[in-house]
Amino acid sequence: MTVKPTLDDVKLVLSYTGKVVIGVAILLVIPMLTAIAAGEWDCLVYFALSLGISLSIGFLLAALGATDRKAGWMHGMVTGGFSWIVVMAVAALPYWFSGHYLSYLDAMFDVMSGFTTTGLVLIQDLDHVATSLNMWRHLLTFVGGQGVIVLALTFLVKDSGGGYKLYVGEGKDERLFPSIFHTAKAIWKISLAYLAVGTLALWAAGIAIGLPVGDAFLHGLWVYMAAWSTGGFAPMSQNILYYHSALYEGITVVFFILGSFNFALHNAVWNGNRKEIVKNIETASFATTMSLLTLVTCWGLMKLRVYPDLAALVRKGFYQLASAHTTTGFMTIYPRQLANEWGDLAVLAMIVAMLIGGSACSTAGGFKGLRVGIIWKALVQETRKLLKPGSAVFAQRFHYHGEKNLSESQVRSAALIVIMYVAIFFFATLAGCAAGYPLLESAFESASVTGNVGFSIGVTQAAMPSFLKVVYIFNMWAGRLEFMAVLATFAFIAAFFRRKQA
Amino acid sequence: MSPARIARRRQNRLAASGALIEIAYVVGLSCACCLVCAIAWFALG
Repeated sequence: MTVKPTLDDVKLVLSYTGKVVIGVAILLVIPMLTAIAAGEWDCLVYFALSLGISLSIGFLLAALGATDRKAGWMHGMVTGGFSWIVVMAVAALPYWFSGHYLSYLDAMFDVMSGFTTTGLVLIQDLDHVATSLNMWRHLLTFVGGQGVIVLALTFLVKDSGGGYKLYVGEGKDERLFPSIFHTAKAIWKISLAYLAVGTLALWAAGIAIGLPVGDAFLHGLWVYMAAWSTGGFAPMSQNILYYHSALYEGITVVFFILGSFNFALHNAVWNGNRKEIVKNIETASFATTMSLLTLVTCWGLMKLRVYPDLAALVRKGFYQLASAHTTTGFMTIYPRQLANEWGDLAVLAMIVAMLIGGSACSTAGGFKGLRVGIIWKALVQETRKLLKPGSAVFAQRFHYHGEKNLSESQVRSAALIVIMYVAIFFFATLAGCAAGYPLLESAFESASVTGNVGFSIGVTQAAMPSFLKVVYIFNMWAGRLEFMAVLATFAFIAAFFRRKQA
Repeated sequence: MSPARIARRRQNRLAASGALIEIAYVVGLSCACCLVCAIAWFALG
């Protein structure tokens, strides 16, 4: 049974949540400056109003939760889960004020989609959205990729021990440096360095394909933010198809694959440990599954003769598969082409790729290459045991920032997370079928929300039933936080109210 | 130039070369996947 939380426990969670809300509220300054630069005065008012409301909520929560207690694992986990819900409600304010959403639920759906780097959208008339609102959309996905709590840790939470628990609560568990503050800084350093390179590359590509210089810069910045965060948002409703440029597609592939790598791997390679990128179990697992699933996708497309030549097959097949496997969700085809042209085999390969996802402690979703690698190693170990005498002892090893022995607890933990992912994948598939969508389409969209991918086969739209939107929001949230924080939040709330009733 | 600045420059150079290696790895992996597509095309097509 869960330990009953005291009022001090609740206060601590509220205090940290308040700080996270303040951190996100401060971000509103960036779209406000964009609105001033673009002369979008209506939007400036929306953002100023949202800033005022968000800061008030943040300071109120921080004040309500003022306590001297230090954070434990429970507080970190519950804050990780709870703060994402509060932040979703708060960050949806500018969306709602803009008039581009049919309901507040739709606005919250898009915020959760942005923060979890999913990339599905319910926004209306995306092609005519104000520059400052587009900046907010892409900023949300960029910050969400690094972690909302990582942002707060960098600037607002200086308590190192409690900070680490919050960091783990957000679904990240790699400590790049002994200090959690330095770990958060290193994550931002890597992201911002690539931000400069990626934006420049896409800016140049944008100019080369004929976009005006200013638009090319903004598109480059936004598309980079969405690529690195494996978010999948784009400023135009046609997504990356809008650019009709192999160069643009090639650059985005590089940055979304890089974004799907573990921050600890980036940190190791950037500090001179170059062999790690080849030896690491996650990159090995990713390279293997990506090659195999590319083969299956191409086979499926070739069987149906979807594309007339090899160049088109590679360009369309590989791009969508890589985008799905890294959980980015950038598309260079129309959603209904997946349902009407691609065929079951290619769509199934995409579903598997979306569920596997990228690396742990990265911007990517899915149940992660690390867990696929660990479960594969466990299978190898069990098979070897079967083929050798009963007394033989095996130490299965794998490379993950150094040689490691495979332990029972690692296998159990990996298997549990995979089972949880598959369970909520079935749950959302069931919800899709209950809403009247065909099985394959429901499964595809479910894999997309569960793996935080953002690909759509046409199910996600403002007209879909509200209960399905809520289920998808839950799956995006649970998938991004890898369940522990979500389970802890529910257990915490249930235990708190049980205490009240007693 | 101060030793701290020299160390910082060395660190930045190391990080830049690390980033280049990562980009080269990703380009290599993408090419390998495209090659897989091509092999499938010629073998099955």
